[in-house]
Amino acid sequence: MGDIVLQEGLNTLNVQLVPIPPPTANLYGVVTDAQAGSPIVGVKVTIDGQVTYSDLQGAYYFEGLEPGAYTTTFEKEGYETLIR
Amino acid sequence: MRRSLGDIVIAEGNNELNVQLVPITAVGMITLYMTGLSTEEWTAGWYYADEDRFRYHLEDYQGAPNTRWRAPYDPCTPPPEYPIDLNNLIVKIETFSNVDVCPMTGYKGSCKWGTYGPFVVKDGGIYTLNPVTGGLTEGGI
Repeated sequence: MGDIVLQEGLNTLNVQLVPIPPPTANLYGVVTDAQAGSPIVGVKVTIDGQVTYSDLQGAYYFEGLEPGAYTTTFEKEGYETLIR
Repeated sequence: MRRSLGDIVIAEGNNELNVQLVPITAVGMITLYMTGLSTEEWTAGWYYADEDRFRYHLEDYQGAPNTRWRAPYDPCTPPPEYPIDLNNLIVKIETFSNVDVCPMTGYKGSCKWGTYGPFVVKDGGIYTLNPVTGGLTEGGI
């Protein structure tokens, strides 16, 4: 935008700052049966208070997370609960 | 039952985390009756996935030593030293009749009715299987 030139006396310079969007992270994956290798539907996946369930392909997806360390929980009746 | 493998670190952008859940295996014993057939003897073979084989409960029975066969109104049980997977019960039925013709062979005598299940059963439960319909119901005969 170039330099400004100040003249004698009072000079006004109003500016606008453009906010930088905070970095976001998405987390996705597939949940499978450790023995059969088949996808598991309806697994409750929890991360930072957000909850979703795996679909017919065992897939789950979170978006808009802040980058950082998280504890993720995978729960389904008949399976050991997994905490990552 | 829980498994903890530590936290994950999610970076900016897309992060992939594929996981495997370990099924909880519940084992136990049941008592199984058979219905729907007229036969002199019958037996149940119990499937064990970890061995990929069927086992029979052999015992001295009505004067016959170490036999797997039972009278039609007596139950079969898994071998006491081999509890079954209660969440995935697979059982096969065999009968022996000098009267009825086996639909699979067209002859009298030994008849293998195939395998049934997987069923979810309760430890200590009593069930009745109909080899003709394949239905498993709670309770005896």
